[in-house]
Amino acid sequence: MFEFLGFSKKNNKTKILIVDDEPNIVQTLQDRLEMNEYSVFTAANGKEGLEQAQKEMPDVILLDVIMPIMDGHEMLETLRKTPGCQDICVIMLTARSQTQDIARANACGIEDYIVKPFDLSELLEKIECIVEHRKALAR
Amino acid sequence: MRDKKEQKQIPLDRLHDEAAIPEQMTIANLIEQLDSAQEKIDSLEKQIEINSSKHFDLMHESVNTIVQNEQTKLNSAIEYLPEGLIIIDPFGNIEKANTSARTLLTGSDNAPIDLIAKALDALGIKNLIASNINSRKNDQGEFRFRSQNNNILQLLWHVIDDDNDKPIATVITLKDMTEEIENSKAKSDFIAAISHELRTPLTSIQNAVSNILAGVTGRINAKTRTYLNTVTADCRRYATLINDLLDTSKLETGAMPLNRCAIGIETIINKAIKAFTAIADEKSIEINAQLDRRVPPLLADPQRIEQVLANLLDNAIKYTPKDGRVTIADYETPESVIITVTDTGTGIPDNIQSRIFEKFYQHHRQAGAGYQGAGLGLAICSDIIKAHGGSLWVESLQGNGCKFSFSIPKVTPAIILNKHLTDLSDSINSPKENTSLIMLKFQCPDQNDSHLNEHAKNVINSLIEIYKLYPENNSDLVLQINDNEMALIILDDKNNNTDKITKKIIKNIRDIPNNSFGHQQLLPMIAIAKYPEETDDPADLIKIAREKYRNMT
Repeated sequence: MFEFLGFSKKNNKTKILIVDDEPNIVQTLQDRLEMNEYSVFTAANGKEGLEQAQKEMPDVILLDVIMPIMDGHEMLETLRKTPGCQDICVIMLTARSQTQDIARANACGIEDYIVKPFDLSELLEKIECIVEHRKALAR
Repeated sequence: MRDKKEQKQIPLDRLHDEAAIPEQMTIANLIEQLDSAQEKIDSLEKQIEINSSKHFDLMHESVNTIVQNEQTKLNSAIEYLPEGLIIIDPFGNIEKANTSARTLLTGSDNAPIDLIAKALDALGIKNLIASNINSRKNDQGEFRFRSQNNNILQLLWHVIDDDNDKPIATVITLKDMTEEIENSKAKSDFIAAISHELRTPLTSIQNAVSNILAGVTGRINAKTRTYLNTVTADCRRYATLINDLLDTSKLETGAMPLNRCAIGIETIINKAIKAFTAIADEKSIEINAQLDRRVPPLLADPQRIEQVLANLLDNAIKYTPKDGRVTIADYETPESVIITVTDTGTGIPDNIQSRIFEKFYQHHRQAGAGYQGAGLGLAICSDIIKAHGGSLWVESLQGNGCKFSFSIPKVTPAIILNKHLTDLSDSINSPKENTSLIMLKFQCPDQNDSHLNEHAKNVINSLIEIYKLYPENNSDLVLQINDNEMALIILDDKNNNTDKITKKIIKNIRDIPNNSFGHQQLLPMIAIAKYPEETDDPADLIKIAREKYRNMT
């Protein structure tokens, strides 16, 4: 029984989608998350992010705001109207700390709004907490 | 004997005239003398009268000249004021309108008075003021609107009362705010761009270092770890500096709106103390809190107040030698709540006390080794407190440390609500951006706070007046007021682009909760939706509007 649970967990890795146009940030985030046993997908703009989100149905999306083609706000607003994507947990990871930006993201229902630069260890703790909480709710 | 007699009978006016004293006095004599005296007095009086009337005329003339001169000066001063000025008599007639007012309202600097009156009527300004005037003495108010040539104008009105509190005139001043608003927007855009450029590279540096320390790249030796820890610490310092610089420019340009909500200062103080306990313990500094439980909740931005407290605590701990003490206390005055942070450090000399709040000023008190900063902390604190309407000051305790105090004025929710409803009206009073349907619902946290509703009602009345300015869209208007709930519905225009407009308004209003109204408990619920065609019943309208609003968001 115990072994089975362990087995099941391995096959159900928590999926995280990183949407950011800065390759350095994506890379460092991805490396760290993968080391912590998360399954990571990436997208370089909001449009790609939407496609990935619908395809992979991630548990958590780490979303930047300023991106080419489609920015984070627009992606988030579209995501919330996409069937099946309304409840995906979104954490904003952005260099924009303007009140209007925070308000706009908040209005779409986000888990957190984190201003760059941030402490990676704290972000990991936060993600872990959210995932645990959501699992508990699902049970 | 004779002396006595004489004394008794000498007429008063001839007392010193020895020759005039008669040997024998009769009643007839006396009367004669009295008559002649009276005549003299009369003639003197007449003379005086003539003289004084001449003087009076002269005086009157010169006073008139002075008044006329002053009037001319005043008139030309008014005429050339950069602000528009209009004086309205108690019957609503325009007594005076200067060049700026003519230009701002009509676009022409020599527009006749009746054209100005028409412009004012078209804007509904007279009604607007009338609906805003309370019975208060010297009533005044302000609102903004968009002029015919699409400029944003700020209008201030002030009722002038005579000694019996009867209004004698209403003075209106107009100011073109377009440029100011555009400038502040440009500045805040610039800040946003710069902050992005500064923070992004720092993020990847910090992430990379964090990954190496966490072992993503494999095992690292102790020396590398030490180096990387230094990099991390310096990255943090750099991040703080960026934040401080951004805060400074945000505060300067007014791009940092306060997120006011009702806060218990005790909670914030305790939170700040908790955050600094570890650092204080290292220097075995004791942090005390002397909190007065009677201090009322404040309407302030909790994050910003926390920032101020953290800054003051950080300084206090830095400048207090080992085994010292830092005390936070609060108390209440009739107008404000005061919070003090007292340390047992070296104190600050009187001559530089005013300078420590200047930007980039650094006073090298005996700070702990390795203390570095840009000298922005106290300047930011001071600006944040000023933005709340309070002040921040310092007192030296004669070699026994110093005491920083800041005050936050007590503000009623009504005042804040009123301010932000006025802001809200800005977003819907543009002729080009007619609203589809706006529903405002106010839920008072305290049902007895009828004052709040009173304010809301006043502003709603003004919103209605603004809405009336565009009668072609005035297909319907419903206003519902209950005891503790209020809803305003402004109904849609006949254009087909209502969806787009509605979206825009939702966006505008969505911005409000976070940057102006503040906390949800104090927040009037605002909903917007398209005009529900299904019903005309106000109760149903609200229900349907609510539903539609939900679907739209």
